[in-house]
Amino acid sequence: MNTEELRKERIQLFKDAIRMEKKPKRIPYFGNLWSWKIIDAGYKLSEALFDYEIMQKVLRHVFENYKIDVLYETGWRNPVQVTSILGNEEYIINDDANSINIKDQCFMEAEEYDELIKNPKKFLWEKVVPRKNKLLREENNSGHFRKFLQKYGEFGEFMGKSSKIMQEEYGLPEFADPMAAFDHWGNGYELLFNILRGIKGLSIDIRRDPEKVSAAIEALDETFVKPRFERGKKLPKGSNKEYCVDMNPVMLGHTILSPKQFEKFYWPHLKRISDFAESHDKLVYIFAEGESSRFYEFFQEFPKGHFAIHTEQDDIFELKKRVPNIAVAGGMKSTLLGKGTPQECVDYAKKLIDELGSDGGYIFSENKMISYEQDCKAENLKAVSEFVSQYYL
Amino acid sequence: MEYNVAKYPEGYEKVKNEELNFLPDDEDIRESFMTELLQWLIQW
Repeated sequence: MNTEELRKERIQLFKDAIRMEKKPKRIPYFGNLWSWKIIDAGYKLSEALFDYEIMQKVLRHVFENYKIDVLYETGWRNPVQVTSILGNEEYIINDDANSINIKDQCFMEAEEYDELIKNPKKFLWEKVVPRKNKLLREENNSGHFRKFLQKYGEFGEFMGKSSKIMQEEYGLPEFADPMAAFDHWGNGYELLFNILRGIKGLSIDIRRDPEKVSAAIEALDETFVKPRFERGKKLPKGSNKEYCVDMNPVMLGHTILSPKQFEKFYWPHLKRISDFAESHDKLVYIFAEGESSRFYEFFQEFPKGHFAIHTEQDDIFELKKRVPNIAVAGGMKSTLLGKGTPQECVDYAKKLIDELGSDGGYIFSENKMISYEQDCKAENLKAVSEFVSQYYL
Repeated sequence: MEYNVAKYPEGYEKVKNEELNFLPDDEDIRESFMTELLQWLIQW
């Protein structure tokens, strides 16, 4: 099989797993490998993050050593070469500890909701962007901005080149259609949670002034989400054959919500995606951080054959049982990959596939984002990926 | 000439109309790019 045939086969494996209409040829492997791969390839984080050629060597290292079907993070997660040019200091790289952290971000005050709601673009452009990027607080800053645009372009070129290497040399597909993906966490609620108000601020706001939070979510969605839906509606119906899935929302901020709050602040966004997926026959892969079992009644409303949920901390066997209308993804424990033996890891991988994937509806993956050195041993990942790639149902 | 990008709409419009030489001279395409760029700047 040549690389193009391999790429197409891999895309089909993901589509079949989510459709749940027939027994898949084998279970696809979604590589949930993050900053760990830099260390595994023998580099320091700062070396790879500040040098695109090294990052491409890291990607090649993964493709050549592990038999995964998709590599989700291909160097886009920590674009420090671009952000640092404007004086953004949110990323903290520690080469001694092999870690990269991002501060809890809160770039908006509670008193500023009305300003945000009145004109989101003006508020974000004039207030939030300079708060986050200190060089834009200078009076004459267009020179800094031109350098930023240059770096932004170089980053785009790196991503394009990496994608070409991945697809043409190794037969791994791009995961989600960029034209219909609706951005990973670009909805109003997630922007409030992750960037504007932070975990603490938003937790207080949703109790103190829930209507204002709802109005802010609506204003942000009108600005960022609505244009993407309009763009998506112009695409042909059916799942794009060039990608594994069409939409790839990431759930992060649901972790602080009760079911009642979820219904008010989060569900409208997911319902919009659900309706769109059903009416336009699209495939959706939700990456859900944390634990989500209190929201299963909502997930039960997703149309069958259109959704997969990658769970980080849920009991994946329970999720499969209670939400049979969706495909489940994840399950391979990072604790086992990091501390177990190759045989123990392969035994658990077999259990996951046998119990979750015998009728389709399962995508194999690490439960958590593999980030730190201790999250995974190379020999365990090798053994598991070899097993999954050859275990035909 | 140097100017303050972080003014809305003046700086925003100047970036959209004068700094994006790699885009075609189409208002919809440029506005769409600016919206994506704004989101990128606040998200990352």
